[in-house]
Amino acid sequence: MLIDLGGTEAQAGAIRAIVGLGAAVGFLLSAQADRIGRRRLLLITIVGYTACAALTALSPNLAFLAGAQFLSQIFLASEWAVAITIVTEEFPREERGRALGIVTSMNTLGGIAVGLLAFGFSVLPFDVPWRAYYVLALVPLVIVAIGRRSMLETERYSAVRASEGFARLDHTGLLEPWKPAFRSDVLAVGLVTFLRHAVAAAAAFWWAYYAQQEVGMSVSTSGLYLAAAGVLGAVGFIVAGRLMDRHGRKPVFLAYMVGTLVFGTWLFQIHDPGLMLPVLCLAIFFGLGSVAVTSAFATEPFPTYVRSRAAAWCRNAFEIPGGIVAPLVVGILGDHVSGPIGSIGDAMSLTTVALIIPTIWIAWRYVPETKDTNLVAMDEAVMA
Amino acid sequence: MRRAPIAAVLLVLILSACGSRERPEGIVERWLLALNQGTAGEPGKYADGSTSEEILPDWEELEPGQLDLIEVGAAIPVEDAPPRGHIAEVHVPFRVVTVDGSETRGRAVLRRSVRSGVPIGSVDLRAIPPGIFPSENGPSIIEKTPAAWLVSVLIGAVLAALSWAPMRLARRRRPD
Repeated sequence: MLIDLGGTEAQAGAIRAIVGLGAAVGFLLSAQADRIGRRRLLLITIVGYTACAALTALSPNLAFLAGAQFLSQIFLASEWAVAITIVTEEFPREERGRALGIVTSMNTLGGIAVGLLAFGFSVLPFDVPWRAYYVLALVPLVIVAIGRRSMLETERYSAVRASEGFARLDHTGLLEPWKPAFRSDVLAVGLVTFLRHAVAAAAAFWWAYYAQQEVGMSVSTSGLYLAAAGVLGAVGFIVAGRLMDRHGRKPVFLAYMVGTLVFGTWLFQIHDPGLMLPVLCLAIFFGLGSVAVTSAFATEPFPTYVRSRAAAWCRNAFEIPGGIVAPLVVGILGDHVSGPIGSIGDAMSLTTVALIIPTIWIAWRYVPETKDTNLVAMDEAVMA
Repeated sequence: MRRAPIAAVLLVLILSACGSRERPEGIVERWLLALNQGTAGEPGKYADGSTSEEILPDWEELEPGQLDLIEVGAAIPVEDAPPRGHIAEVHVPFRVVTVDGSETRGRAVLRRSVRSGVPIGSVDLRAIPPGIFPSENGPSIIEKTPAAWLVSVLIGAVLAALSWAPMRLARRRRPD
């Protein structure tokens, strides 16, 4: 891509930062699902994302590509948030966890699918240009064109919209989730999401560097490890979903955080490539698999009229900053030339310990258990 | 409540300032990583072009990513207290493996108190025995102390305790 469009590594880094900001800006769009409905926002985000993918494929230069990818991130972040809200509202109480586990695993499986696609392209007798990947992103647009009439608004949103009390509620204010009735849940879930994602993002960002520079693994071996662990680790989402239907959200989240603390800390202390793979699998299993539970935390405690905005606060406003700050801090602490710790592995392990301890405490002490939450009863109480 | 993030930023900055000493192992690693990026990596900031040529011939013409493995071992001070007028030398063992599988092992020679020019003066490609690098059970570049773990646990406990104030504030006027 850089060779084709004529850019440097520094410019690639700047584009990455600009694109990352798009996910934060996505907060404003994803919050609109309470105003215009889940179905309409989902269709808008799918069409918007695929249009931006088409623009990316047509990029004549790096500035155009950065703009197209910035916009696509806004739509992608909103699409993710509204998809979680739809799953929470459409599935019966006893199956919500399983459904959230499956949907959240798609993010990781999507990344693996791109890796497999790249491998498939590499064995072809001709070169496949990078633009082909973005052309393939147009497939969802075709599916939407065919299936948009059969895609219905969620039953919960329709019921709330049709109720008498609907007009009395604030469906547009971005600060509505910070009303006294909701703010302690938004704050607790937001803090947990921030801390958990900070560790996961820093580990995902620095693992390859650690494996290559501090363990002495080759680029190709570390890439293979990551692909294999990604597949096995994705099972963590599914297992978390099933377990939280059976045992509740909080016990599963706490167990996953203890797993993250143990295997996330150990992972960055290993210098034996043979031991690295199983520990990497377990760290991904617990670290990423917990997203299934935080998705439930971010949607289930809130009534339908404010659910999307509350989820947008928890995810876009807390999670994304965590993903920006933690890799930066680990880089400063572990810098091999001038960092006070001087080792990325040690900086990452110590950061995991320092951040997962408060995550466990806040989740145990302040986050509500929502396994048996009846969304209909909650809406009726708000409307009354 | 606003003081906590400011204090955290200050702590990171203070810790960074404490660690202002430049580690020779890090400099050699940066040079090899820069070399692996070709001209865009600007390896000339760390070593002369001729020194880089000894590791990766024709590096200016090659595509980035020719080195599949880069590893640096703990530095070996040659003279801790050189006589007046002399510059202390530090040798840093390194090994690189190219994508076609050929391995180069050697020592980078750094002049610790050099004020001008590039920090890596030359490379010595005489054979390095096994057991020097961390992946070969050699000594670790950084030895962390048990106190680091204790500080980390304490920071975690402080962050957990700090969450009490905003949560109490948020819950104060919550309706039943």
